[in-house]
Amino acid sequence: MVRPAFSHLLAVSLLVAQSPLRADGGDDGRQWLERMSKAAQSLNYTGTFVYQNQGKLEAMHIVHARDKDGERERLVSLTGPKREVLRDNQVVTCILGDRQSVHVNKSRPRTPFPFSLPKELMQLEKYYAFKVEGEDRVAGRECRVVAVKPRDNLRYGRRLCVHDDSHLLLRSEVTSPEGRVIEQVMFTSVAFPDHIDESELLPDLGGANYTWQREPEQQPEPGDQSADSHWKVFEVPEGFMLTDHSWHQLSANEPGVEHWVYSDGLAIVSVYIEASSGHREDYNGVSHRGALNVYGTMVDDYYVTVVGEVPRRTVEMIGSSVRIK
Amino acid sequence: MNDEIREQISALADDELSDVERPLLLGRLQRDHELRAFLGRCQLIGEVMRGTGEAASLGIADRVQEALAADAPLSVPLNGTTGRVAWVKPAAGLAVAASVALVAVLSVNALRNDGPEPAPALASAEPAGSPEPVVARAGDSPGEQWDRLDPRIDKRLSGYLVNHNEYAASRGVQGVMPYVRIVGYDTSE
Repeated sequence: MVRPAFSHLLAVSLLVAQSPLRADGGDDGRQWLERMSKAAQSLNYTGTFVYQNQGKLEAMHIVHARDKDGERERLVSLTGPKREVLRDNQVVTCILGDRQSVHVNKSRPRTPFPFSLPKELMQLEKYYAFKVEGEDRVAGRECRVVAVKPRDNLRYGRRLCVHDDSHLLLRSEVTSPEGRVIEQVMFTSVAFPDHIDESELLPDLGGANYTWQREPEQQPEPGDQSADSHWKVFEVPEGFMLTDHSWHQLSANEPGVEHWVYSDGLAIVSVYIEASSGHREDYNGVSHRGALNVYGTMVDDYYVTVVGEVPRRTVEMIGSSVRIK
Repeated sequence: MNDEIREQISALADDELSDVERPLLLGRLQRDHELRAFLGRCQLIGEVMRGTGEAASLGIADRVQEALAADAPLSVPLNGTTGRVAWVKPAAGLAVAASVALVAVLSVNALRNDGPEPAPALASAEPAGSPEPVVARAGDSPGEQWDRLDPRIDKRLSGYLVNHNEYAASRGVQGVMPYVRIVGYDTSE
């Protein structure tokens, strides 16, 4: 019987923060990542950034506000299709203007870093090497470069640049196991206003006449114990642990989806299992969006889908091992 | 590479290229790795001379900011390696900004990786016994996007993606990246 391993979730988050401590012989790296994590949640900031992925580039604008009521965030596309993501402490709303659809999901609490379990810290260092690579400059602001390199070819690396003053993440690169940049987000301008006006957090896209997919407030019974499942994930890369297992109803009109979440402390992989609901279509193969890879397959009359910011070989390995017990 | 091209690239690196020449050169740069590498070297040299070095991100931020002030719509081929053309839509001058930034980013990658634009690590093996794929065959070139899928599959994957991203975004090291993928993917691919 496996409950959602929140202790593991917290622990592995810490691993990311703690590991540079060992790599650098000091606590500099750990402190930078801890500060980065806190800054992302606690700062008021607005900015324009570019997202680059396989030769494509899009520009976006972000507004993030933090007050006594919590966090609010708005991310809007400036190039290409009109799209927005709005998030607060309750819900995440994705408005896809080009598809005339709106997805509304529950928001999850952000995981902090200030916890320590030495055993898991050592575990993460088995799979990633951490290094502070010095100073850089992004959007005209000085930042500290922290590199996280995978030790095998089943996970991706990161190269982060954290603002010296605010500790905001100014540039984030996802790198292949060989070290190539797969995608990156980089601010071109950023500001830290004392106050964010309400109007900056409201969507431009109204959503009228759009198709809405709303995650129902009443979800299936928790049943968050893997022993209750008829399914088993037989193979995950070494170091990945089950951090959550639950059932969702992603839309009021859709049947429930069984959801398994695995993490090695840095990467997160989701396994979704859903009944085929009558009209079964072929559902086998892989796809990707930036560094996010997807593997889909049918097992009996169920759709099995693996989604994760890991290499394609990893989602294939996990997905092809999912079977009925 | 002739002297005229060198002069144009040098002018681009210094942001002194004319509005007429710039879109033509940007298009050529998308297709030519050698030219991109040369542009990167020009920018590095310029920044070294100005004392800013690579730390200035090869001037991307400033160039994008300057281009944001302009309002000249521009369409550029974004993927020269496959022959497909994606169009940057003119949005309040951002087209030029994005084009300049793209070239600069590609130049950074060319310098860092000593090769053409990066590709993700891909497994070559297809799972044994897979029926005819609908999403994309394992082993295909990395160009298939969810946008081309059967609408029913696409709808299902979109729901999973939004749900997964909320899990991923709740982790401190991910930043805004999970949602950026929702907002930023290109449906013209």
